Amino acid sequence: MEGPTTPKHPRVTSIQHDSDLGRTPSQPTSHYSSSTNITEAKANLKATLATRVSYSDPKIVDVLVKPDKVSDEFVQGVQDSISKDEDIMDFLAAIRGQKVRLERDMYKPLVHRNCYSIHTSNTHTSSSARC
Amino acid sequence: MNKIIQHSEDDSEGDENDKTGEHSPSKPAADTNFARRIKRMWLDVHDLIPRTDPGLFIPGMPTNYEIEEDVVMGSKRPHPGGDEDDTGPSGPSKARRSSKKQQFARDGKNQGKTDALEKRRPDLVMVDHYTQEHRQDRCMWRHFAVLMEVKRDRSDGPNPADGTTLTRLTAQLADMARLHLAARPFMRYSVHLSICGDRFNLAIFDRAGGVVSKDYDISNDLETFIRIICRLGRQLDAYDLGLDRTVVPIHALGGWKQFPEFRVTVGASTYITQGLPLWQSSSLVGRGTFVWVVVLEVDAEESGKGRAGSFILKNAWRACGRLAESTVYKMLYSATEATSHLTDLGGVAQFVEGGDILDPQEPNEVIKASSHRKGFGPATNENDDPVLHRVVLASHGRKLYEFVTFSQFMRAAKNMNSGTPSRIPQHSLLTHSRTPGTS
Repeated sequence: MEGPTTPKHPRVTSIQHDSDLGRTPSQPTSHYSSSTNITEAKANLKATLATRVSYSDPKIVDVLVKPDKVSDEFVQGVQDSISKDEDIMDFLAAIRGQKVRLERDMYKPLVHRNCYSIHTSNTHTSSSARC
Repeated sequence: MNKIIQHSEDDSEGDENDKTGEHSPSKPAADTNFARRIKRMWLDVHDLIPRTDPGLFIPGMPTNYEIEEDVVMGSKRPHPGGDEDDTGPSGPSKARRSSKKQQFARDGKNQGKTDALEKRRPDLVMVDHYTQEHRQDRCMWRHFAVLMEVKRDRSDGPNPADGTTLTRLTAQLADMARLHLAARPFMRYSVHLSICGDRFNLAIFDRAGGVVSKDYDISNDLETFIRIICRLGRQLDAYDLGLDRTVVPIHALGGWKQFPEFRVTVGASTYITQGLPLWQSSSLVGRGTFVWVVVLEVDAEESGKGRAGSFILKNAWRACGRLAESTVYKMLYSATEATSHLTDLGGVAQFVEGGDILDPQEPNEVIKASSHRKGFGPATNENDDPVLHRVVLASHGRKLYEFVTFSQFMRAAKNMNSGTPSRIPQHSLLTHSRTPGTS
């Protein structure tokens, strides 16, 4: 007995998208599709943000954070302790002079820190800039 | 910085607030609002890959956690979402990627700098800290309250020289903001600090874009810097840092064991979210949709009367110029067959209730993107001001693999097809507004 006479179709190796076929999509790209396509997300982010970001706003800190609600005594206390800390003062001077060394140029044990050692040990340093 | 970190840890005010969180994470407290608890700490996460909860996949978020053990000093680790992924799938990948270009991304020179959008993790973060649970040696995006990015040179700051061009750092902050907003539910905006050389800035990103502060000098404005850090870590609650004021987290935001559930008000009813969201948008500007399974919260008298079924909650920012989704549903179900040309509503989700959300701080006003921008930022464009909108549906979608028979599947396909634009052009919104859980 002979087998079926229907000719075999070529194996489908990939799904053809509208862009592969050079045609315009018949419907707008779905939201899910656009949010899962990283390349498209990058392009969309840059394109949409270009006109949607406001720079150098003078009021956002005062309105959103309200820094004046922190007591002067507290601020003075922190400033006093900073001024007595040579490491921090050296670090601030280095920042002002743009002389902060890169992390990779530092002595490794000084900058290697597990973030969860913050409240359990004193092995970390505060004077390392991570750029 | 070190002093401030430790001070936050010893914060007596935080300990006082912590007393409200005595409840077990598995037993949500009816009267506890965990958004009001202020117990935070700074973490250095620049050489870690922040995680999401198991089962929660956010497109574009690095997921290759295995390489965390092999830290390369002085460089952020390349992640799967980098340039090599541009032509490939965006799903999780176990394959380790390495790129010469990325290895020199942090050496302070322009040559070899990577695309800013590839560094999808902050340098430092202020996280919600839940003292009732043992802290684990990893960090999670949903714990982040404030994100900080540090650059060596002041020229890398977020404010452009010409005042208009999108800077590399601003794009990088925005990219992290979209992941932050996707991983931490019900956020209206994401708060960021940047320190570039001796300059620091504060920025927020929301569904309408972003606002970056003027440049502050860390020497001349050290007092302001101290005040900002103190406010962010000790005094501002989760609502002040972007959480939607109309929801109440009934689990700790900094908890590890339990993805927080939220009490959400829609109209006169209150619903409780269940577990992880079914779906969440990962884009920054736009609708920012979250879809949840929720249950109706009933009081003691109502319980046992069969009202505690589960529903689908869709939380999204709708374009103010478009018809609200809840209005479309109401029109559909109120129209007669003769006027709607709909012969069968079997494929349309069953609408329960919904609408724009009223601002608790401004009675009779709905929550818009501009609501939290009052007093700063550019003048609001009334035609481009997203409105917070919620819809509750009684219809649950089914996953394809849950269909048992082919006839079941074809009936579902027939129902879906009944809402196509070709048959009901005047209601074409239906097709494009269909979401998971409504098919």
